[in-house]
Amino acid sequence: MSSSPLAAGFFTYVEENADSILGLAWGHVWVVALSMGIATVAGILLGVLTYRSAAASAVVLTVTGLFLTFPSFALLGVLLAIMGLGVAPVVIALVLYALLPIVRNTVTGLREVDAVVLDSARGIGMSPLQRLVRVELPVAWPLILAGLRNATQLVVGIAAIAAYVNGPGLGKFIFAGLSQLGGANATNSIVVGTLGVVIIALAFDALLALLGRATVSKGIRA
Amino acid sequence: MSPAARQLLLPPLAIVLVLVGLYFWVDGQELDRIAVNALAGEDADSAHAYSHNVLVAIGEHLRLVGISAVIVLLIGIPIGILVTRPGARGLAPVVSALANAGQAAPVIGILVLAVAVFGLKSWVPYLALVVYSVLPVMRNTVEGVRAVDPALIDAARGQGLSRMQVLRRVELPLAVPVILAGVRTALILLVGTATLATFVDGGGLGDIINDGIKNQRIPVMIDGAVLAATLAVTIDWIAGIAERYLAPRGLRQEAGA
Amino acid sequence: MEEAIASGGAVEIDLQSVTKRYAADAPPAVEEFSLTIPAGEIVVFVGPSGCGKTTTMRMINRLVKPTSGRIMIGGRDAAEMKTDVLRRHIGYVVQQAGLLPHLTVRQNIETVPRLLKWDRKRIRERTSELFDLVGMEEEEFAGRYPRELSGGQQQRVGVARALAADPPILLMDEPFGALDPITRDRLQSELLKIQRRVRKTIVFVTHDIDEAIKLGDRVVVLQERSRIAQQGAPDEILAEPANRYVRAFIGGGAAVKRLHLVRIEDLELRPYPTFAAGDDYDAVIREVDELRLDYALLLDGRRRPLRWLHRDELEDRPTDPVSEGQPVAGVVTATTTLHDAMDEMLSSGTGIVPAVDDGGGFLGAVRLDQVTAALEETHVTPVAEQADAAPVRTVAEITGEIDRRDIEAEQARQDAERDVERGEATA
Repeated sequence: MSSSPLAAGFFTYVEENADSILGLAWGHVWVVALSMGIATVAGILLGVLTYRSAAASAVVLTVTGLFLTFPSFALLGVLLAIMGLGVAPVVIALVLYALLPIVRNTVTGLREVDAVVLDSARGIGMSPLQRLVRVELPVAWPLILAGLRNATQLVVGIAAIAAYVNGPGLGKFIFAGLSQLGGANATNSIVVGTLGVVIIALAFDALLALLGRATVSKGIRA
Repeated sequence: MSPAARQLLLPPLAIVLVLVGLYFWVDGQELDRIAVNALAGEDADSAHAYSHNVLVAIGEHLRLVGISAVIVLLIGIPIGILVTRPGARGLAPVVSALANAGQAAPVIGILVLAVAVFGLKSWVPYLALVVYSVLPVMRNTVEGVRAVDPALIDAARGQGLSRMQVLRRVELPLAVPVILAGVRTALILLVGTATLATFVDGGGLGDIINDGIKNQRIPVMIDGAVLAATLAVTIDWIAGIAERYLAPRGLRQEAGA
Repeated sequence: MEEAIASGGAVEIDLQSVTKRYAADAPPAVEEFSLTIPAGEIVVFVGPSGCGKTTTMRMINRLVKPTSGRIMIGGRDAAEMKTDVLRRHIGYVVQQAGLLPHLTVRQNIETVPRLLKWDRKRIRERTSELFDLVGMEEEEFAGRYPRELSGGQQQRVGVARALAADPPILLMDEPFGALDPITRDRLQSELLKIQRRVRKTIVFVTHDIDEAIKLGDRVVVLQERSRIAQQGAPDEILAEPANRYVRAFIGGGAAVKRLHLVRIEDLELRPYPTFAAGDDYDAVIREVDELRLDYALLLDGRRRPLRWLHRDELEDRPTDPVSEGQPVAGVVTATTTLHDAMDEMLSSGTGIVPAVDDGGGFLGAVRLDQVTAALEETHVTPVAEQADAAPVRTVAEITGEIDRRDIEAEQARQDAERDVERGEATA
């Protein structure tokens, strides 16, 4: 590749630390996937339960919006202080951060289903549940998916901060580099952490894009 | 109360309630020496939610956010506009792609990397904050200008307006709501990411939170965190009002719609 | 599953004092609506927007629940059937089709049969039939999505979907309202063709009186609170509007059609100066002047109209009047429509046509102003406001072959210019 000493050093560093890089990357992926799984179910459920009422959805959106204003490492710190070390507080924090984009897009998506379409679905004898499952959710799905992608990006980045409070993930490399600034491998460590997180974020995004291709009807694809 | 009045009055009411509540909550906690040090400094005998160190941190936080925001506006909007000009239209997708990829980068990584590259200089936190929050402003500017109906531009050109006049009188005014939405997003992002400046000696409320975490003093941690969150809500509220009154009359949305 | 209503044939719908009130203190949207809709007929609810016609229709499939009253469908109370089941047996077509955007055309059409859990083979066969029924190529369109179709095609699919489970009833809510006039016209005709094959009980809602007249076996004109202003066959409504409201609602466009429905026997014939060869000219001229006319009509021995003689020619007191003036181009009888009478008037150039009995004997005259009066009777705006302009314009529209200027000249000549040479003003 390059003959620059930094780059050469970087690849050597990656090679030497391959095991821990992969281990932490796996931890990062795992904690994000778990959190997103929970947040997706919870977020869509919250959206479905509240979208018919403007007041209820406003409350849910305000509350989930407040989570986002809370500085992430403070929330992680608080949860850690209360629950002790472990994956649980990190997952809870990530779920809370992921909720807003998912709930917001679910509510918006469900609300935006054409009234004429809904009326005719009612008119041909679909029950409320059938309308939700066969009409509203499929039609809202592209927007919900966009919310999931948005939330995933957010959560992958916040998971990097979790390392500061002993969470799993590639953030460890960033904070390790920070604590040994000026040291031989500080920059390498930071780059590995940052780049690793970017790659994971892009991989998740690509995965969700593929999911979209597979699941969004051609009739409503943008 | 009309929805508009509600949107105008409820947030400040909530903010004041939270600030007062925070004071009494911290007041009711047992603050040991370490906590007092963190909040009020080593010379102080006691501390409360708004002791000296906290106020200093708030000031630093506001400076971090304020200066970065100004730089973000000065860079983001002109670049966004430039990219939509006929000569540079090819760059628009590049900007969009960059903006999306930028979102994937962890802000903590950018911050620490900037320090690793440039050293612990006082401007380094600003660099990281700007890089991270300029993207939504740029992207919204591009999208806002692009979303202007080509027929309107055509009509304006047909009336004899120059390209510059079309930009100033038609495209920008119509794009203002979208651009403002981007600015609002950027501001919220800035308040949040500014808490991370503490890791690179940038000051701000992150210092208080970090002291709390490092020393395992929950009241300190909570004090910093709640203030940062309140600051974000406050700035969002102000930005919301600005969004309402800066948008061209014909485009203003009714509140609660 | 309980078969709420048998599929296949049509059933009668009986609305009994149906009232819909949205709020206790608000006036009802539909008030005491009673109507029997015979099986197998197209009944059109027509009225201005907001008159409650859609609400009335939507109570039939319980998209709107009546506040009071009963709706019997095929002899059974609709309120006692399970709502979703009821709806699956009532086809429903709305404006802009309301197709499910994420499903293909085929999936859209198959929605109801699937809800009804038909077996695969039956669904496939039925879908093919439906493509054929609405005139679409199954191969070409089955896999397409609604947004890939034109408005007209979407509406065809909408009709196919509504008919999918072969429901005895079809409710159509302004289904062609959003289409361009040509497509609308074509789809209306196709609906009639389809109806001839399927014979459903169709309730059709529109605000377009022309559409109502074209499609309806029966037309129900509604006014606010869905009160029935008039109901009947289209020609009954056109020929005898029950009141000012109906007349106003029928409006100018339909007035043209009304000329087809009014016959000479419906008019009061006007007296006209006539004479036979050998009669006293002074008497005729006096009569012409008294009636402020230009012509007198020469009759033969059996009182059959022969020729028009201008007053100037009468002054000459010709000994052989049969070689003077111009021949009578046509006559009308009791059953001639006003539309055809007007054709005669305009081609004769006199603005007058003689009406004769079965033996050809002269009864009286029909004048152009009677045609315009008939048109005015059905005009939306008060007659006074457009007494001059509207009839002229309408006449020109009807004939489509006579220039507006000719008609104006025609009338001007009749009214004033007695001295103008004959032929000059005649087109």
